[in-house]
Amino acid sequence: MLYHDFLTNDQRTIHKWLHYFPIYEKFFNKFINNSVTLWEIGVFKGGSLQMWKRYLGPFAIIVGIDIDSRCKTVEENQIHVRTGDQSDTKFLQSVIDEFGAPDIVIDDGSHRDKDIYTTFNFLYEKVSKNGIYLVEDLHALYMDGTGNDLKDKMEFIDLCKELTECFSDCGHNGCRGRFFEMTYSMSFYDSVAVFQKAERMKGKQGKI
Amino acid sequence: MFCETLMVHEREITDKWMRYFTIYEEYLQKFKNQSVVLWLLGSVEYDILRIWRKYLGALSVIVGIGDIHGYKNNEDDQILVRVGDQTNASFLQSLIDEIGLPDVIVDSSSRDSQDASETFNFLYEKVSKNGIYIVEGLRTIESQDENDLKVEGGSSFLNLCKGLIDALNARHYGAEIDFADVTFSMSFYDSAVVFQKVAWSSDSLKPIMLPAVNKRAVEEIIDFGNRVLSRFRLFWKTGSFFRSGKENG
Repeated sequence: MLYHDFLTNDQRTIHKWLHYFPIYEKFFNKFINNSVTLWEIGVFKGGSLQMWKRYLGPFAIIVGIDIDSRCKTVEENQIHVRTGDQSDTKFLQSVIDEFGAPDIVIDDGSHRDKDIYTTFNFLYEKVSKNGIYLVEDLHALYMDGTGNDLKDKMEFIDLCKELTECFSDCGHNGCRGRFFEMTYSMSFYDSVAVFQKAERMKGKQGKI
Repeated sequence: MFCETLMVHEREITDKWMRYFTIYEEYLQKFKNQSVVLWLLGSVEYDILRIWRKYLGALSVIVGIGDIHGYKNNEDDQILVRVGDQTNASFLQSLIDEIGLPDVIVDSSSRDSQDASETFNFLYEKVSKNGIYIVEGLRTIESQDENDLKVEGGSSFLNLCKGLIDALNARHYGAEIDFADVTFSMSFYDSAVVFQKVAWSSDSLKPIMLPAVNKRAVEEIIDFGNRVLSRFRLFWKTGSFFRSGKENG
């Protein structure tokens, strides 16, 4: 169990909200002992990279992405760290060229709206077809503003709201059809958004 | 599996319904063979209530509310049918008084999307603490033409959901919204939204840094090292390990 692993961690420091663990387990469970490439944007002390390695097993490749070059020191077997800016799409492409398309992306990076938006726009469609794209610490976006005013610029949250339209009956063919075709579900939790990918055949949903 | 339950029933499945099976499996599996009260709202065939009973098992209670086709006033065991207006709060309350709180709601009435919002506003908080609330048949406007790319305004229930995305994070910016205190997740699927409830406590809502002890120890060592270093720097500059006290004039 991932939560158990976290609570008994005696290796590199991990900093997570407790309620993230049921979310991780729900979506990442299926990848255990598979060949899986996990990207975590935002390395911090590297503890969570080690946790993903322990959780996902010996075939997992863990890629940490951080703007701080000192994070390189946490590299070890199965764990790679690349230094760059998460909003630099050329850099992200170079990481894809090196490690292949990610199966799991966890955006725990700058927690700035603009960066989350840019990274998502570029990276989401690159994630493999049953992959997971998870953005955490979204509450940081809400706290940027002053008090309760949510009308501050929140491109990423606004995009999410717009994307919910895809899931209504006529959204399938409509404005965001491409997004719908590659998305099974989109889930919101306190501070977390999770996108579960799928490849839908256009106009041919499952039938019996 | 929900599918297998259906197969046994040898029933024609409509494409529309098929897409929800993965969702049922994901969220309702945990209720199998438990004491669970399921409310089906909207226009439902009586046969489907029987399929739900077969899926959830002998301890389940299946309640069909609204327009139940093929119902001939002869209820089977574990199955109840109540006819009434699901947007009417006092009608819903009378059902709660009679049957008890629901654990699972499956509301497929939202062809007319207004229905889903009103029912949701009343019923969501009544659902039990680990309960599931599913709204099916999400619609915006009927699109006549396949090339019609407009999604005008969206349905009112979808708009309600968009606001709830903010509400989920409300406590982090000081607002108190009951919705956040009872909700674990809100998920969008092909034509459906699923709410998973949970009872939050302050114990579960906190960030934690581990291993805590090591971190403190390491910080102390670094701090101690820095202090020693600064003494040496001072010695290098002034020839003394101690400040003279006159440095700042």
